[in-house]
Amino acid sequence: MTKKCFMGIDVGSVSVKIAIIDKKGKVLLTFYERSKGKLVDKIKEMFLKIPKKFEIIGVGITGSARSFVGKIIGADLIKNEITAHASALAKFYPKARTVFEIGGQDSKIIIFRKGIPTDFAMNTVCAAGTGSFLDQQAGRLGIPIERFGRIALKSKKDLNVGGRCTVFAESDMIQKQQTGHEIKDIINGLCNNLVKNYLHNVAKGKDLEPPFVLIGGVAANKGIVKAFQKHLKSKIIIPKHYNVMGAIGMAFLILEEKQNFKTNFRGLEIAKYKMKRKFFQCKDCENNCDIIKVKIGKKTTYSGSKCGKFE
Amino acid sequence: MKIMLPYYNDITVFLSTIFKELEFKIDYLGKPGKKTIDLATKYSPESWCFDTKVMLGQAIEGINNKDDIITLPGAWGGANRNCFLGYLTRGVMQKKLEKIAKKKINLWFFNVNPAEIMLSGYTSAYKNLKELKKYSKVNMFRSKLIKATILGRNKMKFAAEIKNLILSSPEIIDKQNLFSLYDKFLEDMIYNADSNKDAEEIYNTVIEKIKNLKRKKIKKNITIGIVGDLAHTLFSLQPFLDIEKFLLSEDVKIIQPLTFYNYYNFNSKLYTKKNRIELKKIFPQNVSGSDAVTILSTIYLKDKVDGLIHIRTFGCLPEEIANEVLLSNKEIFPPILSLSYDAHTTEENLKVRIEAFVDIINHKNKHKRK
Repeated sequence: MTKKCFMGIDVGSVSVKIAIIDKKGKVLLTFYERSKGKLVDKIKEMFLKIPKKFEIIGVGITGSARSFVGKIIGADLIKNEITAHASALAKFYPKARTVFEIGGQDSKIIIFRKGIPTDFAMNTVCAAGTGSFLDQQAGRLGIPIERFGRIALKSKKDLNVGGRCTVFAESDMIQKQQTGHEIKDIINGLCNNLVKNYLHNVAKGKDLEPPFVLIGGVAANKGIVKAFQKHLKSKIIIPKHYNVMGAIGMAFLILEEKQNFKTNFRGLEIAKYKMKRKFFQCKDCENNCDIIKVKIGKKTTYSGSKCGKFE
Repeated sequence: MKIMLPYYNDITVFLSTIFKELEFKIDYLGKPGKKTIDLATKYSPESWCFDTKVMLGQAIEGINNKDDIITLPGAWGGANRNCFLGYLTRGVMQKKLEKIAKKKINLWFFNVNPAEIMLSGYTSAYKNLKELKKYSKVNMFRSKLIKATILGRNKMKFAAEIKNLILSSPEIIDKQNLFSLYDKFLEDMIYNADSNKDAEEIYNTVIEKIKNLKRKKIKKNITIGIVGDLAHTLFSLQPFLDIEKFLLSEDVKIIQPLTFYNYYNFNSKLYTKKNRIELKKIFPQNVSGSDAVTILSTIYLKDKVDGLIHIRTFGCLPEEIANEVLLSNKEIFPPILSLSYDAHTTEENLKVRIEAFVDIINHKNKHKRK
């Protein structure tokens, strides 16, 4: 017997997150997997892992590639990450007043008052303080990112590593290595300065009030959590589903907004179809948009046009 | 003589009328795109504000099109001491362009405050517009200019009315078609409206077409005011995002008081004694320039909208000042989204912020209703 469910997907810059909830809002299944640049292939792979007993009756999608992937799979609701995260947090932590979200390539802050999101901010073009940068530095130091936080916790020193800009931070780290500082102190310094950068930029001008909640992949990094607690002089709550909050939020949104409707979702079987991709540049105006044509099964989808010509 | 006509929303219609009456050939560049940004970033010093960079990009496009006269907007009336562009009008831009083009460039700065044109007719603007005399071969230059100014004003009124109608119609389903109609209307106004009668006909045709577009029912829509960028009416944001089209697609009604015509129309409402007193309270410095206008328009809109989007190009000092004043007094305003952009901005980045802002307002309103 199948169970009617709603699915939320978060297609981020470095990972894909999927959450499945039932009609009562109970979280039944979550996935978090790194996409390694092969987004659609990864989603297809993850779809194959979803048990057949789940009948998907509504799909919501968020994340930086939401429009592109949403069109391909036939999502019923496409929303930004801030709304998606806010939706999940309002359900799980209605008492939260300040939520920090640090993802692969962007970071956000959402201010809640009385369980309602009232304000937000995002990082601008700077990627300092995001997961990708930490990944990059872990790779450069030859340390698995999973161990990064634990190593930082071992440090007793308060080393100052530039975290304002990824380029300067990296050169500062190299210089610190060259002069003989211990790796654990450098990593701890980096965590501290990334948090300082986040609080001074993304969170600038916001009324930071506890309870504080930290979500996003970076919340797994204990060094970052410790740095937040140090700078805010307060406890930081890491939710159980910290890294799939966007996907859960989308599942909740589709559950709330789209009751009694026929889904556009093309089904989990889409994973079995072959995909053909073609890239071309539209020359109809000076924008020269890079168009992506994707054919999965019999359906062709376009993405990338500014004017809507290929919608 | 061929004159370059850049896109500056409804100002474009006014300028085109002047140019046509003075018998210039018009090279209308249309909305700036990627090419403009490429040229802008290639040739501008990093320290220039983004608006000025885009203007330079447009000017180079004009030079590449072999235009004889290059049109650029100046800082109106030199009123704003904080405006970077205001300093460049005094010769820097001329030298910069001549160095790039390796030849002499005929540069004309459109430097007229909208209120001057709309309220005083041609007289106060005459000094600026008559700088075109040296390039024009028409007889009776002055009388032609008066005629063009009056016709230009009327055409601009039509353009503003169409735009205001579009901005208050989120229920129209096909936004793409709606904006294509506006773009076509602008081109018709530029090239085909040689008299009030022509302009009225074009206006009536487009009104009819808009009326016939399919509409949907919107349960509760919200209204958002766009402030900032008085002088250039969102022109430099165009390569990244058509913010008006995007907001309408989110079922949002828009009030944009700071287009050229609307500014004149709102002018008397902006500078009321009550608003000025309120402005003095939060911005006690000498009140002048686009920073003050942005703050005043925010004060004017605060009880009329659910939220405000403050558009500011990176490096624009007047808008930075306005932003600081608005944020430090945010308790008296509805929610404000401050959108700063430059050459590195992406469409996705802007969309996320705007969409989340709209969602937050919708959420708040829903909660209030409960």
